[in-house]
Amino acid sequence: MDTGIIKKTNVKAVIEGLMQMGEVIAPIRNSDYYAFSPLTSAEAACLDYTNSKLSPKGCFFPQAEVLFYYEKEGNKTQEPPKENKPGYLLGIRPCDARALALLDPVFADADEGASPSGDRQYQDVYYQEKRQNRIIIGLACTSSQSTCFCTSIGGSPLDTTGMDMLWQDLGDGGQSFVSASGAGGVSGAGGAGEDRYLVKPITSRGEELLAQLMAKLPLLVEKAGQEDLAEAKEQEQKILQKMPPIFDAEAIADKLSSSFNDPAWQLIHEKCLGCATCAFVCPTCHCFDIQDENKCGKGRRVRLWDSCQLCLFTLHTSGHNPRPSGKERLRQRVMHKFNYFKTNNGQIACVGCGRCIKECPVNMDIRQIISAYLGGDASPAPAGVGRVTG
Amino acid sequence: MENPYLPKSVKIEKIIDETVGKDIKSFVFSFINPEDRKAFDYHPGQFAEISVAGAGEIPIGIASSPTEGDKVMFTVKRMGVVTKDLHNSSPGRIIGLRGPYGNGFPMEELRGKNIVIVGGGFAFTTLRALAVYLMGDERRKEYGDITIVYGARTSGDLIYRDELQAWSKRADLNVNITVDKRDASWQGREGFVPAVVKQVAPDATNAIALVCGPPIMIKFTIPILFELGFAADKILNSLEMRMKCGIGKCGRCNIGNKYVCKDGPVFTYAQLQTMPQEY
Repeated sequence: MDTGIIKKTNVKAVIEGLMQMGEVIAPIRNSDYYAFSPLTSAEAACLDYTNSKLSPKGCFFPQAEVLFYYEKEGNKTQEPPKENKPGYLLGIRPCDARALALLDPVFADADEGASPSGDRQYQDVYYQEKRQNRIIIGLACTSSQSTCFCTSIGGSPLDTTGMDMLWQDLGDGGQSFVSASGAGGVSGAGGAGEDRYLVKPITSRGEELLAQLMAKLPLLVEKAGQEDLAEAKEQEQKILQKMPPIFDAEAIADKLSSSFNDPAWQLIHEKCLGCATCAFVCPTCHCFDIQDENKCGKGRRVRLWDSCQLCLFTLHTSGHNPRPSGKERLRQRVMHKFNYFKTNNGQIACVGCGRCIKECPVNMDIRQIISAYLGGDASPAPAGVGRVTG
Repeated sequence: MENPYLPKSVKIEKIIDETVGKDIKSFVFSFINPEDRKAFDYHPGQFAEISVAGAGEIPIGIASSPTEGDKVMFTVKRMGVVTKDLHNSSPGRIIGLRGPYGNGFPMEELRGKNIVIVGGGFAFTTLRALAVYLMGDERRKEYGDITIVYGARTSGDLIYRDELQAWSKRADLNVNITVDKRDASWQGREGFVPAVVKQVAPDATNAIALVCGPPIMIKFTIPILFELGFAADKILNSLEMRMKCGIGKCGRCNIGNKYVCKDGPVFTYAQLQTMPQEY
């Protein structure tokens, strides 16, 4: 399997090449945060970002999505036009790519035969079509935020799960290719040490894409040499050293198994406002609501992000609510991610992106809850995390 | 790839008022497209999503037995937006239906057993489907004794009243209908369902009990079934939960790691004992 090299000065041209081949979705800067958005110009892509405010799950499972249009009379339905064009999701971080791999079994119902009714398979066509049409080009992390904890949860800044291709920044990391090329400073030199991306195909789709790019842009996408690979390896070690695990999440599912009736949930939930921000920014939260929107006898059935943290989520029409207070709702979120999901799909439904910690208005920290259940000796607040309070 | 969210068109053939209060009606549907009926291959205990465009969808247990022909029946209480819209329908209206969903009753396991059916209020719908299935001419001999205990608050709240009265005349069924409070229009049995189960005392030998009803009824019926010698894995319950998708994706009907829509709605009491008390 060949590995490629793209000099940062050439990245703009490579993205332009990708844009000719299909839609490119990449992180762009939006005043004070980053968001995944289809590119209209290659310059808009920001590959020196830390992570986006909302996870890129919305590219496959949008916050609001039309399931179909209807006419009120006669159950007449019409599906929205399908987008079967190829596309690329560029610059997705390893945690978020891993989250996509966790969402796949949910929307594809891969556990055929596992449930009593397993003879029927329900493919979520909306998710599946977008997932099949888009190639995932990941971007390895060269630095971490204080809220990142992927290494504690089975991930890594260079994890390739869920990706078709991985780009690894072998340069100074902090500098955007856009500003680099804009300043015109880095071009020319060539060889090891230059600001460049190592381009590593992960799947056969990634291999095809690299071959395509090398054929289409032979001067821009080169073959990586031994020194490039050695440097990548060395860099990987350095990054991993910077992010030691703060706990071992492997044991958490077992520890939580007997915690359902633990009185501690009463204390844990107390400061939670039940705003569900954690769920909306989470790359693996996937619960949704279905609503009809009407206008003059016509309308559309829409699916919308929803969350187990909201009080209406499980409310029956009779008034009965199986999860009547914040205690049950927060417990559901933690148990689903760290216990139920693992039982059903073999993995924990958390990737350690830290968005829920960063965006929580009352500084709830999932790391503290996990640490507490793991026995408490791991520090839930790594050095330098000032905002994490007891 | 088939889109599981698209409802199939069905026509309301018939609407039956089940209760004196007119808040519970049965709707008999026929599929517009015969292929859709063929694909709607169900057995008692399963449910479907009834779609009323503009109002939404509701998960409702299938009240008809697949042995009753091509039409399917649902008994619906007037409660929220969708059920109100449905209740205001007239025969001939075309709405949507998708399903069947859920595991339903374990029909293979029931074969050769004595069956005890315990129902309360309007939760008798899927139990009706089961009873009709079991007492079919050719199938009746495949099962042992069939005991039915069904109760409602008042006689006006009993659903399928005429049908139940017809069943109680059959020699091959033991039908016990009860109301919490007797009134002028009811000369039959008075008493709560658990007490009646105790009086009737069905034999637990080679028997399976299927219990559907309000939580309070279930709570007091289970200990009596235990007293009679039923093991926890021989008592079946059908659960209700708020649902949207019905196909294990939207994530709101779970009890622990089990999804009521996909792994249920029918669970043995032994299963429920291992699940969190969150339903």
